[in-house]
Amino acid sequence: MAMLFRGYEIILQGRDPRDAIDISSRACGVCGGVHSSVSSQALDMAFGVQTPPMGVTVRNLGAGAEMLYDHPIHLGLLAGPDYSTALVSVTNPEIVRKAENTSAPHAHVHGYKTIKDIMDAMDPLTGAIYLEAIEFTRLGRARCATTCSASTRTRRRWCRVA
Amino acid sequence: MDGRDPFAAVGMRSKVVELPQANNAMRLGPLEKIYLIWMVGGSCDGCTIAVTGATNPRVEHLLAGIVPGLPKLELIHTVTSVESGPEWVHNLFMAERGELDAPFVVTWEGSMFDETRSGDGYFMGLGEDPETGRTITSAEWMRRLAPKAAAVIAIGTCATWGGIPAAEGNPTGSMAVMDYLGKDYRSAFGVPVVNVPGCSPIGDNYMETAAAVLLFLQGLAPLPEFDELGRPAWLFGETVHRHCPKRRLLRRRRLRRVLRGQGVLGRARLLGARGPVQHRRARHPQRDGWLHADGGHLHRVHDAGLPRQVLAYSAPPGSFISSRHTSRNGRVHPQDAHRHNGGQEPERPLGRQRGPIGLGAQHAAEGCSEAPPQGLPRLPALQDRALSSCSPVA
Ligand code: SF4
Repeated sequence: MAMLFRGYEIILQGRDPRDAIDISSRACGVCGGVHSSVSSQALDMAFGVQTPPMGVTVRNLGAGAEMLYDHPIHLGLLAGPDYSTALVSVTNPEIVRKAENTSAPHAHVHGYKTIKDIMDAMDPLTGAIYLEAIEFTRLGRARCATTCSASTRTRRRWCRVA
Repeated sequence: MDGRDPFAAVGMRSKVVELPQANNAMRLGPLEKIYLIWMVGGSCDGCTIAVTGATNPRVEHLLAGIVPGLPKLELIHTVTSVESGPEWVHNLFMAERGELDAPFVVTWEGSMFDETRSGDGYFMGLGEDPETGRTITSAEWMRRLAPKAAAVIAIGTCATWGGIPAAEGNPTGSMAVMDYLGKDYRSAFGVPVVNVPGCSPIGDNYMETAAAVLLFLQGLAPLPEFDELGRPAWLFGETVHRHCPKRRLLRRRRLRRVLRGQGVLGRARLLGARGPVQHRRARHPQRDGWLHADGGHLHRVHDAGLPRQVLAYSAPPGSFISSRHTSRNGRVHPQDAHRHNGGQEPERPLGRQRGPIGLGAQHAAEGCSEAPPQGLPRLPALQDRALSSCSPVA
């Protein structure tokens, strides 16, 4: 429904190439870290420099931290409610009835006996998965804030060391 | 939809998400609930994500209406709302016609586009007019909703100063909400545009501000104090520098000399450390917005005047002088203040931001045998690195 043009490609033209790290990450608020780490990889290629082994490690840590925060956001907050009982019972009640009688695989791992239980847990604002996802994004974000900034800037830190 | 009115969108929401905790006994003011219409212009949704990180109060508590004294928030959000398509847009039409059963607050994320530049198309469309099928632009929604809103809160650097969409080259004519609505804008309840800058903003900054505004609307508190840029004064009165754990190092002369000798200070400035001139709270990284947040020290994009200066790697104007003042008293000296606020143009173009792309790469590829060609902007960190590493790479 919503369509958007911001012209970041035009803004990036003729700039200090290092600005790409920060500007391209503003393309998306959910996955921004990936945009900046890829920008810094592109800069590596453009300048013909090699990331030192520890730099690669730090970048990997950053990517891992982002995944830790990104997946709960997507699964719990953005996409999860679409599959919750609260919404599906309005749009497709027959699916909810079917879910009631379908047992969930690996129930001994996660504790939800039927698919309906999982759908209940994804209800916005009341479901257990939803609330836990919000809490986990906070933890993941704390991790991101400390690692991602380091990972996109490894090259600079390593200038001093190497 | 089994016989339900498909356009009873707001009603459907209350029926869908039955909140057991909602409890009117905690209501202290006239408002039982309030609609929060979260609209986007040229945004990346990072501000939304940042606000989910707030913990004081938590967003889920505010939405459930269990924060004492605050009305229950009914969120009408472009991304996280349960409705979609025409149902969602119907909420906005209801708000415009004043048919919602409670006042509404508009929170704007992202820059305002100058849609006169978009020709036949549009930069950002948000729903269609049901009669004519014409796409309504998000800027038009702002024009239609702002006069009726109880308050307009601009969140994020994009909405407060124009941000990255308004950076040099600005193809969309992006501007701040304040520029769009004009300085004299007052909401239906007499509140000016409230600015909560930051890219991404600190979730708690937004939450505290929103809570203060809600308390004002409830009649439980006076109108919060805002500074000359519309920011909540109690949150943005001090610079990041003030709470920097490394600030005391600057006070010790010998250490300062050592740091300078190692190039640390110069490098910090080179990397665009804006701590000395940025007004915001340095806080725990957990609440520090999202990935853009640098853990509190090197925030570059929180202050006004950014649009023409999104130059991450050059020192902000005035930082040399004001870092001296702020290292002593933690506040920007009034004489320096003009240098980096109010969105004014710097007196002279800032150095080193307009480097031709690819020259450094070309130089590195040519074997780094001679000095950088004249006219190449100096990029010390990169060039050092490119020069020192070209032998193993090549
Ligand atoms: S201010 Fe930053 S985080 Fe917020 S919408 Fe703009 S680019 Fe995204």
